[in-house]
This record gives sequence, structure tokens and C-alpha cells, in this order.
Amino acid sequence: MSSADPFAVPAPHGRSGIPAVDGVLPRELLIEILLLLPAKEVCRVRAVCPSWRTLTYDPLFVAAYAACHPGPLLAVHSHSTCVDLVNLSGDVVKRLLRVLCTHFEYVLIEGEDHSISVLDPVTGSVSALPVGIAEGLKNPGSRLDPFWFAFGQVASTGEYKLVRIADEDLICDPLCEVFTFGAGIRNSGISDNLAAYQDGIGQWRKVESPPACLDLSCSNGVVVKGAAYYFFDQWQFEEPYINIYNIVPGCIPSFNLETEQWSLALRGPISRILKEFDGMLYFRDIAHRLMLGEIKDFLVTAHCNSQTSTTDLWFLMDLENCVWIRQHIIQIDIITGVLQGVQPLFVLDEGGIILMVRTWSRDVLQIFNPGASNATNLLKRMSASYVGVGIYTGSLLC
Amino acid sequence: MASAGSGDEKAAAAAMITLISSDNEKFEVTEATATLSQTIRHMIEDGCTDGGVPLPNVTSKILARVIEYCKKHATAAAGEEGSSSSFSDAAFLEVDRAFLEELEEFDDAFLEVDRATLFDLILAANYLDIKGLLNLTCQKVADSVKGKTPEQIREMYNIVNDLTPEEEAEIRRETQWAFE
Repeated sequence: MSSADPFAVPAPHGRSGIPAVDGVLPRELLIEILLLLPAKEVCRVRAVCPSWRTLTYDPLFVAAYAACHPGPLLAVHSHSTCVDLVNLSGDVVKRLLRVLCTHFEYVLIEGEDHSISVLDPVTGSVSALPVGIAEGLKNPGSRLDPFWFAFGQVASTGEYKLVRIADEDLICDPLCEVFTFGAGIRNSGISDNLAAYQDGIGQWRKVESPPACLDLSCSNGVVVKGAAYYFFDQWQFEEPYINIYNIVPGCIPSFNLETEQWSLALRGPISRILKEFDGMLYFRDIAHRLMLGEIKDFLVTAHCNSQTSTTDLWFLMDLENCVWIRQHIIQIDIITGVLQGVQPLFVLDEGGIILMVRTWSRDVLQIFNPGASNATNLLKRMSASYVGVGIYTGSLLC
Repeated sequence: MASAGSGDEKAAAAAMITLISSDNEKFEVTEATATLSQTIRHMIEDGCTDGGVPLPNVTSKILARVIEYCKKHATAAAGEEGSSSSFSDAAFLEVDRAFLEELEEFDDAFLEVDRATLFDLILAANYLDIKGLLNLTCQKVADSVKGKTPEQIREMYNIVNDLTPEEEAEIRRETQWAFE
């Protein structure tokens, strides 16, 4: 396609041979300029003319753009249909549709009937995962069906696995399925690899169900070192149910992504927390004030105390012996509502910790710097509720 | 040791380079100023600057502006090196800050040019490989595009749009969020 675009001289000039023609810039310099634009602007200038459009979709340009604008970004799922990618100044840099969870370079999109697609951030292509058993459940698409997810990497094989747990009627007979991506997802789309997948790679497999009902508040399992951690729903720890399920109160169930087995071996820091309160509180008083998170490869239990508006971060130092150590006490200043829970999401290179602060009326993203005593708000615009928040370090130009 | 160092500096300061524009105008600049250009730095290293450096892609008008930029920023670079050893000293930090502010003001004023000149400066900065100047000028163009509609951008830069209305509508649909 021809164009009288003053930027669009397609000559592959070297540094020595660029003609200085008034008002005309060669392609390589147009690229320099477009790389300086925010992602939203890059997407908008695609409508200027065909050459700009082709250029900004070029995988080489997309890769160069990612290199110039390193993340991380927060993927904030604030309404039912879309996710905002938010930079650390609180500006929305990109809006994606229907994102389920993001994990560094991957964006998983939940569609109708709980079907899942993977957005390849580099090419912008969306590949649907094959249909599993969960899609066949009744009441498809109902947001009331509890679904739990976890996405993580198996260290020994490099494979990525997506865990999907569905509990159709809240009858505590959840269906647990695993989808294995194989190690090649990083470089090539899933669809390219599907034919090569065998022995359960590239399709859903039914695996062991969780030993009891999972807590609805931890719909995205926290993955640390190849295992996904959840909470149990706490009514199972009360009379008369506690005798039925026979689970120790405060137990943190985990699903090992490699062996695909559930474990009940980990005890949370709850007895330590109760000891601090010197018999003033009981298990049921604090169970719903706990949230799980991952900080620098440590599993963290965040306990928020609404009376003092503080949150304690307990780090799991020794998995085998269930040794938890309190590393931070964070003062949370909230504008409205009663503090309900605080989840640590991500640690920045400079040491700041990004927290999702849930109150009864709204959720707020805050950032806590260990040097300071309290956390500060991150997002300029606060939503009534965030369905989920992930970290996204991939490209923005899709 | 100290006197030897200052002797070297004097020698470096005394070394002059002659730059020759496309319209044969000659500009005498110090080596410190000239070597902000990686292209000229390599020529000096290769020892091929005797008799002047011909720059057939840069007019005298643009070269004069480029030299103005390099002189200012060469002084800034020298100042930074001099103060880096005593960075903890509050007084030095204050001086640095004042200097950086002055440099920023210089850059802002430097960019007050028409579009044709700005494009010529970009081409010259690219040809001479002056990273700071290239970033500065490209950022100016990028800023001019920010917040503009595709129509405004086309008008500003005389770009002929040969997208069909259907294609344009499709692009807008693809990236609806970018137009909100």
C-alpha cells in the first residue's frame, strides 16, 4: 500500500545514509518516536494510517516496546467483563477483556461456561483451551458456581499447569481438573503445540479432589514453589462438622502441581496468633481475617486486625516444621468501611509490597514500603470490588 | 599526580575539531563537544579528522543548533564527573540540582522550533549518533502526538489516510479502550 505519510519512507537506511529531506522521517526514526508513547497512545495511532498500523503490530516492534517499558503492572479485575493493567503510579495503561488470572507473561481469559483461553501477549492471538469436564456442569456461566483456580510452574519439568476446581452445588464434592501447557508455551502458542501434545498434555485431566470445601474468598490459589495453597471454609472446623471432616483447625491445604496430590500437612500460624491475644480471641474470630499471599517465594499469611487497623505478615520459614515468623506489621489507613482482609500481592525490586486491602464497602490497592510504618493508596480510582488482581510483566501492545 | 591530570585536561581542551556542513561552512569545536557524537568520536579514534570532518547530511543551520546543544551538554557532563566524588556533600548536590534545572530550561528552549527543523534535528542526531539529542527530539514529537485523535495526527503531519472507513472502524473496535 502506498502512502504520502511523511514518516513512512520505508528505506532501510543505515546511520550514514539518511537523506535530510524536510518533513520526512525514515521508518527507524518513526519507531524511536512510537517507542516513547504510552501503550494506550500506540494502540490509538494504529488508526492513523496502514503503515503505522503494520509497524505497531510488528512482533519486532512489540518486543522492542516491551524492552523499553519494563513492568510490572497490576492486572486489576474490577468488573465482570474487563481487567485494567495498572502501572505503579496508578494509571490504567491498558484494558483487557474478561481476564481470569495473569501470571507474569500469561493472561488467562475466562469465557462463557467457565471455558478458558490464553492470550498470547506478544502476538495478541487468543487460543481457547480444550473443553474439560467443568464446562459440562449444569448452570453454565452462572457466577454463583464456586470456581477456584491456580496457575503455576512445575520446577522439575518447566511445565505450566492450570488447576480448575468447580463445586457445582456447594455440596463439597468438588471437581478438580488440571491442564498442562508443556514447556513450550513461552515461545509458541498453545495451538501450535496442540498436535504435539500427548499423554495428557494439552487436555484437561481429572485429578484428586480437595479433601474438604475450600473457602470462597481464596478463589485464586496462591502458588509457591510448585504448590497451590488455599484455605478451607471455616464452618467445617466447628461442631458438629469438625468430627466429620476430621481436619485440624488452621490447616492450610495445598495442591502439589507436580504430584497432583493434596496435602494437609501445613498448619497456619493461627496458634501463634491466638497466643498473642492471650486467650482473648478464638479461632473463629480470626479465621476469616486471614489471607494468603506469596512474597519472594515465601508463603505468607496476612492477618488483619480491624480493631487496630494493622496487618501482620507471617512468613512460612520452614515448610516441614510449619515455622512461621512475623516479618512486618503494617498500619492500614482506610477511608471507609471495616477492614476485612489484606492480601500481599507482589514485591517490587525496591522492596515495596503491593497489598489488596478489602473492606466491607470496597477494595483498595495499597503499597507498603518496609521502611515506613503505614501503607499508601496506589490506585487513583477505587472500585467497589476487585474480582482479582494479578501481576503482569508481558507486552502491552496486544 | 594532580598536576599531570590537569595538564591532560588542558591538552584535551585545546584539541579542536573542524566540522564541515553540507553547504561547506566550517565550525571549530572542542573535542569534548564533538565527541558527544559517537560518529565523530569513532572518526577521532580512527585518526581521520585532519583537515576537518565533512558532514554532507547536515546543513549549516542545523549543525549550528546541534553544536549549541553539544556545547551545553559537554559542560554538563564535565560538571557531573567533577562533582561525583563528593556526592554526599549537600552543597555540591545543591549546585548539581541548580545545574540540572538550568539544563532542563536550556533543553525546553532548544526545542522551540518549527516541525521541519525538529525533524532535521532528529535526522542529524541520528546520523551523528548523539543519544541525548535523539531522545530529546523524539520525545518532543511523541509528546505532540499524545492525546490527539488519529485525524488530528494526520492533519498535523500531513499523513494521507488510505484506510477504508471499514478498516478504520475495525481498528477502533480492536482497541476500543484506547479511544475512551
